[in-house]
Amino acid sequence: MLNVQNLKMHFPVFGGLLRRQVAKVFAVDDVSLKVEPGETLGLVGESGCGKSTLGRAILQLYKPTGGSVQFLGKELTELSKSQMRDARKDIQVILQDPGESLNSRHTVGRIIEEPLEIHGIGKTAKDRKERAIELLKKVGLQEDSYNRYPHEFSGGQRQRISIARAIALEPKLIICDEAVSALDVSIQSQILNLLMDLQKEMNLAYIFISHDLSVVRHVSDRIAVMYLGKIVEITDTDTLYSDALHPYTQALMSAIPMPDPRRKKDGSNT
Amino acid sequence: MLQVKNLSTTFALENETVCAVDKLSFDLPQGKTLGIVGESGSGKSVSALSILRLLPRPMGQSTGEVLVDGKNILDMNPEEMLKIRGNKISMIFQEPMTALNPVHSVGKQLMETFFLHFPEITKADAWNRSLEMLTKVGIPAPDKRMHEYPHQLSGGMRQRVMIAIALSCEPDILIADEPTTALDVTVQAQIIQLMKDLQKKNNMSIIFITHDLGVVAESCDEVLVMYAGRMVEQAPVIELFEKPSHPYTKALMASLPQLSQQRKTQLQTISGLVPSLKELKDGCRFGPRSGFPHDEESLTKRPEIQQITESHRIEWCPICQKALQETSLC
Repeated sequence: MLNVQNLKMHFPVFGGLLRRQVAKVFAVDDVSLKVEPGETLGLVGESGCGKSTLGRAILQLYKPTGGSVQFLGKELTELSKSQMRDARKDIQVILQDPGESLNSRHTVGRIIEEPLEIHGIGKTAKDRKERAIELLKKVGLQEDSYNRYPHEFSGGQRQRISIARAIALEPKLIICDEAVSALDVSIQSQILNLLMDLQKEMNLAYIFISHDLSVVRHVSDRIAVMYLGKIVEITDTDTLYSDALHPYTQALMSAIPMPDPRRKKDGSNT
Repeated sequence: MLQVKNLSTTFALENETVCAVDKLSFDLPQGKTLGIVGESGSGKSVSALSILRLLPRPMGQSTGEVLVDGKNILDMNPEEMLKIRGNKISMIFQEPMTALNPVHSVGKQLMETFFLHFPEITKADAWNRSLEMLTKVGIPAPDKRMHEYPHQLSGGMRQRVMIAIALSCEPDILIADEPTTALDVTVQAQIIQLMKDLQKKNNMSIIFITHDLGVVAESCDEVLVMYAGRMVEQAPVIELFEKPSHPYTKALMASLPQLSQQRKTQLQTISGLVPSLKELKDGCRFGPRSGFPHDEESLTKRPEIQQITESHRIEWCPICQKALQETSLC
């Protein structure tokens, strides 16, 4: 469904008296990956390795420097703005901080209806309201949330609102960029369950970006490990956790703190 | 050794008073690490700030006893407090960018501590000792770093500078409030290792505040679980992870994705939300989320703390206790 080939995202660095380009940052460098319908691809790596940039380059929120992003047979890098707007129906994003990604001046209802309006789904305002309420219920929120504002909700509930907005257009692929990282453990598991339920129900594919390797393992079918803009290892989840091959993956694995006090504490995990 | 007895902290809001920490008691033996875990708003950080008397005044008020070498910190006057902070108890914070002063060089911030605690020290001595501290915490090219400003350092390096400042007067007790939360896993592992090494060298006690149970398992000897301002369970780390007894601790452990668990299966959740401080009752605070029906009495009458083994304490609400026993029988 999604086929990324040799994707490159380089950012210029300007310097000197005349602000000429003096260097390039290779944020994403020659990345290739595929995502099938209904599948979850985990994307892990340390901060600054290019995980989020890759997500944004796939979404065409950054114009990639090179390479191709094929999604449902269309070449996203070559689409015009209005064609891209159409394509975004099928590819949505959930961001880490719902406090910032939800417009604090709009009611929850308006936030969820906006994508419906833009894509002309639902003929009348009444249809759209019905649809929005249906979506709210689907993500486990009360009907009366419709008229409330994002600040009235807790972090977990706000993330539910972002999810409702992301699934409003019944996309095929959702990029979850650290979607549960800011949540408390007890709330995190609620949101993960919701994401997994929706995946089953709607046959969604996820690209699940996270630095929490136990969370990624739980939700992913395959995992890609990124380091300095490149994918160093990509394989199915069980193989990665039992038998990581790349030295960076091994180092990353041994550095994760596990909730198991008996695990060997030899101090070699740096 | 640090002893905390019945520490309560209240905040006066505009028209009401909320209790952020409610009769917290624990002992911290020399050379050990006590982990304090809990979700956001459970009172972990406020407890730490209360111990060092760093609460915003006059809103924040603490009662109870915090005993260091038998003396109660909460009764001390400001001059005495100055000798406690840094010398006896030091603290490191989560975000080293906000805790370090952006307009002073690293060297100046390190030397400041020495000038404050040793008024007779010469500038050259302070410089040398600061340099020594930076070397100790594993910062490469420390003489160059001394002249640099916090924004020129990476997150891990900044946290190392924070640790260097905190340890420069060789405190007996270090309070680390989420010291690794803002860092990457590989850097986190380095910082935890560094803290362990320094602990061994100085025979220091550490209070490690975090919400990450993985970090706790890796770095602590004892764990105290907090919920809504109260201790709900305290036990040695292995006992807590293998035999969690309080329903909250159990639920918290169960909601973590485990490596041994089947992938893509439903995770256990804790229904509901962490209660707001304004709506807290005196009784079993986890009751409404525990899944066991609680009557009015159990929600208003404070549960007792029971010592189930010598080192394992639990705040047992009679209803939760009974319900758990029944579920474990069948």
